[in-house]
Amino acid sequence: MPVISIFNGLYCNGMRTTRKLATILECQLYTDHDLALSAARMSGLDEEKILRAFTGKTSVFNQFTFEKERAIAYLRHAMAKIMQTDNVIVHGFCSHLLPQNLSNVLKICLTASQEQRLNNAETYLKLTRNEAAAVLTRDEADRSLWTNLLYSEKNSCCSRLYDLVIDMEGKRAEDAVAMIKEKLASTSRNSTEHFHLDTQDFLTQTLVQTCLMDAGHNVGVHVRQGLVTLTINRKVLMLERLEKELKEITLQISGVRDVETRLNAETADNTLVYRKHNDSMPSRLLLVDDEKEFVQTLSERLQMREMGAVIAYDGESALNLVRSDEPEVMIIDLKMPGMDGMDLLKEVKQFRPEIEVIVLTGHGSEEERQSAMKLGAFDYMNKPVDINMLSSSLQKAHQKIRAAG
Amino acid sequence: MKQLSKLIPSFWNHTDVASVSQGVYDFSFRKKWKLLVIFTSFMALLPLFVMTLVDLGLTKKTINEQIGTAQLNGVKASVFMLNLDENFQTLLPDQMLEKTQQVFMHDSSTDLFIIDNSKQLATPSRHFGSTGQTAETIADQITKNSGIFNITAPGEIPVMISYARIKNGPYYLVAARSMKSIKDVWLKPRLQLTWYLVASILIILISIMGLSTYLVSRIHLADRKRAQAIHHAEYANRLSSIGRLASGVAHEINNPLAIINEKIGLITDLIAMNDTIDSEGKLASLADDVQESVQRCSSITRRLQDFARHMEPSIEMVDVTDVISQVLKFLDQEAQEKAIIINYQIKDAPPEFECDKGSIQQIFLNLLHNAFTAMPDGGTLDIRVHYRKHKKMLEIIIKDSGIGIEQEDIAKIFEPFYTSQSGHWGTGLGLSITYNLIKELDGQISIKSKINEGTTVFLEFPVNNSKKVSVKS
Repeated sequence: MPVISIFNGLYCNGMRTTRKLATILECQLYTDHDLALSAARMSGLDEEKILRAFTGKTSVFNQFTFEKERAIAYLRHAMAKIMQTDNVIVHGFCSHLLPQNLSNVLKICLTASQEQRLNNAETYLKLTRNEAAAVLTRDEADRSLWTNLLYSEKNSCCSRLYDLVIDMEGKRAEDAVAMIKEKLASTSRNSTEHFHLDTQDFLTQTLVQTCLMDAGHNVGVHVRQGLVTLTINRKVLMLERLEKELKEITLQISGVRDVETRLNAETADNTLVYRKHNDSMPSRLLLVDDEKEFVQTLSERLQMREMGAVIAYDGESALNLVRSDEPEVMIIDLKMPGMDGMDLLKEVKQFRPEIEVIVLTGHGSEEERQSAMKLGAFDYMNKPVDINMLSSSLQKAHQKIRAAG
Repeated sequence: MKQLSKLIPSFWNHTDVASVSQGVYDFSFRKKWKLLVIFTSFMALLPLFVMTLVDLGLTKKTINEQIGTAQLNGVKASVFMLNLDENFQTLLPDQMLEKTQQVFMHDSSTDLFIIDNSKQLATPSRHFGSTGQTAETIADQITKNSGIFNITAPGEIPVMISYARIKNGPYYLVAARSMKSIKDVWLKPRLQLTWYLVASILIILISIMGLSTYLVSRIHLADRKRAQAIHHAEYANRLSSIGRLASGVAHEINNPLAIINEKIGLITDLIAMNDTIDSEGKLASLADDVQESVQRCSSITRRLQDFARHMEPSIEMVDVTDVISQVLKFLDQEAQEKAIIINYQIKDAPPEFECDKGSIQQIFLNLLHNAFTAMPDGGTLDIRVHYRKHKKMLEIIIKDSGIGIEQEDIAKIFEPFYTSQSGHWGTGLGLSITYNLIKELDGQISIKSKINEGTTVFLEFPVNNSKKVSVKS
């Protein structure tokens, strides 16, 4: 029995169709929520964080923390696990997480016109047209980003992504079910043994991916009959060391016979450098300084020390970032045009007191230091700053936050 | 001459330092004093003179009248007595005169004689001639039975004449008195008063001059004090703006310095990470050198900022030995250039106490700078800090081996504007400000010096933790 994946936009009557299908075919139905729950349990992340992978809201710190990538890796792994049994229907965003090369997968998309969907929302969910329209727009945007991320395809209902696209206009759930059954019958399948091997590889692949992600490595993973190929997608400063580490981790995983690493020729010359994510180091730093040359170089040096830092050039944009994202530690310059560093410190401490703030200044008087500490600053340093002292202070701040939970 | 020169007050040769260069407001104390003395003297003495002259005139007139009246009455009385005599007809003029002289108050200055109506003298007259001579001038004036008039007698002598006719006869009794003798009556006593006049004029003049000198001196002193206060304020103002400038510059420099630091740090990081570049090699050591220089710059700006911060007075706990070390660090470069050896000894370190750190800094900066200036070709500078616990006094001795100060100048060096260095940096205020600052700390300063051997400055001030020092700036 194949695996069926169903993807549809909101208010297309998709859920009802899927449930009917599951009942008729006597398959186990897995929704996004089911898989997310499983992924959360395995990874230790919040279910909410996993589900956030489906939305367009990516944290600016993701480039350092790989939270989204990790969530997706665990979702895939959860899916690989359920695929060990036959007769599975996957519904939702996760439907696109099935491996491309798997043969016995029927990919279905249900679609409907805007008008139809809004009517459905009004009738069945008792929403106003405006409410429905707003939700719909956001959802469509998320879906488009999702398929773009996975296939570089912005049209989430594009026919090349699916075996079958059903327009629900004028159809009932039963009609759709019938169409799917028909498609099922007409599709040729490979041997089940082949299928089992593929799913085994998929399981190993996802397991390797999650283990590497736990260790902080974001690399491409491909498994074929126990042979693992790891693809590094960025320029690496110390290649040998990285390859050694990757191999060490991978060889310990069950189901892995051998490992080889390769560099992705396209992106290897990229100016972006490969960095692994180190959990014990602060990776959500926000640097606030109007002196561009200084703050950009500082950010680079911190990244080289496995600390992820993003930059805001003034108080206002820093506050915007604080409101919309989750920085952990902030480094603030006192003398800035517009909002003063002290004012920013005050604002941040009022709004998000759990953020630790380190004050940097070219000025430096004792009274300034005392007033900064009184406002709740974690530390106070003079420019030019010793990178080692700053690093150690940042790590202490990170540990303090970790300890506080 | 030297005694006289001592009498000259200080403002006599005063030239305002500032106004000489400005030339706009040239306040001459000498001129003002002269003006004051002349005007007051004039106003005081003029009435005196006027009164004296008026009094003299009045007295002269009164006495003339009195004497004239007396003279006439005397003559008339004599004639009256003669007229009463029975033997009158038989009397000769000489006899008549004799008789009258018994009655007439005999006055040696009066010329008494008889003249007949043919203008001939019947008896000899002192002024007008002997018996028988004609006295034309008198005769013309004798018109009535009695009278009084003034006339010029022969020999250019003005006389006062009274006459009376003797009993319807041809004879007139005449009394003549020179105006000069009359003058003597009212002038001589007056002349005695002249001494009093002169004395009082002298007293007045001396008092006026004395008071004027005193007043102008006080004004001059007050003016100097004001000028000193203004200069002090200007100096402090200049210092604080220098402080602000230094602080501003330091801060401005810190920003690009921070950038250099980061960039060179990044280069160092990249060198460390790169397997191909030798991390002990030339590139790495060059980067290290740059970082060292950055550190040096950074410590300089920090020192500048530290120093500038103390331009505004603020009371805090101060360790004097720290301050001295700080100031010495500042002068380190100069010491090396000038080959000055510095010996800094602390015998019994003093405790921290409350005062204005800026003042302490200023004091030592001034004194040490002076010591350096005294040793343009090198030398030794000894600084000794000694805390006397039992007296709770801090003693500091600063000794240089420089050119020294003249004995007579030592007393003056704390005066404002007294300087051995001319030119724009030598305001001559350094030591006077230092002196004031030390006084504000209830301290003492004294100086001993020998030409070409060196100068020693003794500083002493109390160390009292609980005292709150008031800061005047």
